[in-house]
Amino acid sequence: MILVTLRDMQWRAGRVVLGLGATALVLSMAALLGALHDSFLRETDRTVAFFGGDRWLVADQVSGPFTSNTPVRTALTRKVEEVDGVTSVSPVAVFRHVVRGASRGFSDVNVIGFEPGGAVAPVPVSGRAPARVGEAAVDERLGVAVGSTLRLAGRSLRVVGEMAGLTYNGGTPTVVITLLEAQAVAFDGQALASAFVVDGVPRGAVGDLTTMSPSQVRDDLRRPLSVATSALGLVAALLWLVAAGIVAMMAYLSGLDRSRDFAVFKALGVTTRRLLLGLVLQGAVVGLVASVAAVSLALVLAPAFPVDIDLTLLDGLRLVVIALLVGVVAGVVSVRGPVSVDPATAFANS
Amino acid sequence: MHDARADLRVESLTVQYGDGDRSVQPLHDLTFGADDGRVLVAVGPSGCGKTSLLAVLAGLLTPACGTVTFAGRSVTGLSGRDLLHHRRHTVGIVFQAFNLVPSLTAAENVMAPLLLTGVRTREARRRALDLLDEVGLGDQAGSRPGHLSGGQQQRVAFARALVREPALLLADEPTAHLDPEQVDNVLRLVSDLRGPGRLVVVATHDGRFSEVADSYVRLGPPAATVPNAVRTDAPPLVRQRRAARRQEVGS
Repeated sequence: MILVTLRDMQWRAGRVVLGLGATALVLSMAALLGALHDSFLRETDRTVAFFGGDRWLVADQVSGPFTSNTPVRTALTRKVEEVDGVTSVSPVAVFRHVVRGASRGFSDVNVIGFEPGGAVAPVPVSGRAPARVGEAAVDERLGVAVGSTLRLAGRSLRVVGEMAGLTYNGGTPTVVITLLEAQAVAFDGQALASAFVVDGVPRGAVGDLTTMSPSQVRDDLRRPLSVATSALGLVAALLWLVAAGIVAMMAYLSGLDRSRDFAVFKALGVTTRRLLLGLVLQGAVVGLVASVAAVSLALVLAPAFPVDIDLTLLDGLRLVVIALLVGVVAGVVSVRGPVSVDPATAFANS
Repeated sequence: MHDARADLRVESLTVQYGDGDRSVQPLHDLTFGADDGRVLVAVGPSGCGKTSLLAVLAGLLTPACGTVTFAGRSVTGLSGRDLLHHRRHTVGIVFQAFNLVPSLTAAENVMAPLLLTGVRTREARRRALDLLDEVGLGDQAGSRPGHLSGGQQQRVAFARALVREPALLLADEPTAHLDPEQVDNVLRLVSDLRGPGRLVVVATHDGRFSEVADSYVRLGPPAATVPNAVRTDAPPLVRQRRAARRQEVGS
């Protein structure tokens, strides 16, 4: 059946190539949307990991440091340090803002303020971490080279370092500055912070602060994007359905075209199961080839997206395996009719 | 080929399509027989049940009643794997419209019945090429059906039907789409296929087949409700011609 199947695909090369192209395009879109969905989730992991720490302390009744503007007083730092189980405390500021200097107009950024010399320490891929007011390290997505100058809320910042993969809120790049600078920008110079990042696990209450685990903070960071990520997941699933439909349609049309051949084969003693196997093989070949083409296409298109899309080897393998299964299932479902043709129809003279 | 003699016995065969008032019986109470090594020609007008008869003999159609026995086995009593075995190993079919698979070459079309039943590719190819040589198409083994003439396609169809060395070769209107010269070739081919261990059954309305027929079955009109008219001997005129031809060859 393999020879017959492959020869048939060769015979209908034009249709097969067209179907493969359409399937590959749809699958690549599904792969890219899936990877985009995953990227939005992964960047939250990276962001929380950037801060390190075992626990976060935020103001009471606050959902999390990234989604609330209710600050904590940095004067509490000493008090937190004295809590049993705590080994170090770093007050941090996180907020959204815009900068000038990255492009012609404003650029949306996330801003992180940290205490130089503290437990939270940015690790740039080039340059160094900001050490004083007036310095910043930026994510490479902002497109600002080390040595350039940015303006943040009217303040001039010299870029001294560049970081990789520090984005959140849907690929928005991050600017890292000193806590003092951040307080000047966001808190009118008051001694406030968004949260404390704590090494160690506090055993006991810390005033009216709420303790959060890193995973709770990550969930808090993901929540504003949940609608977008759900929509991406839904569209990706719909694209999978479209791809399955194309493969099924190809198999079905091929089955219809070949119903006379099937009748002849059955008259020659070929079982329906064996015919089905051939068409399933065809669906599998289409799914496999289309998925490999889709992965290649997705890798080519990924850099064109304005956010980092992490298309891993595992993503590619997953796509290939799922496409293979989709091809097989679509093949089986769509050709059950054509292969059940009555072999006696082989005698019909048309 | 089978060890048993390729004798065919058809008893009270009735084929019916549909039920009630709208039912049609192309074959009604048909009885005839044909012996091993013969060419049996089923003749009759369109719709008289020739193709239905072949379908029953091939095990592709279940009759309303009656029995078909071939090589000592009841074809009408077969089911499941035995029926599959009958189609695969006992019967070879030449269809009226050739029914070659357009995506396969001539050789692959001939190989297909072997490959689809588990014969290794190399062996299947060897046998296919041998058969194509025998039918005079050795140089067209790599051609697709679309590039072959009607006569050539018919010869490929014969090769495909013969590749498993069937004891029962069924040919449905094998000359229907051929020009006169090609008809002669097919008549010669059918005549050459006559031999021990094989029965050739040809369904046709082409009178020229009477020249190669050892016996024939004349089938009645489709609406017949009386037993089909049956003769199992070649007509006298044909016997005379054949005897004359033998004499010519002998002298």
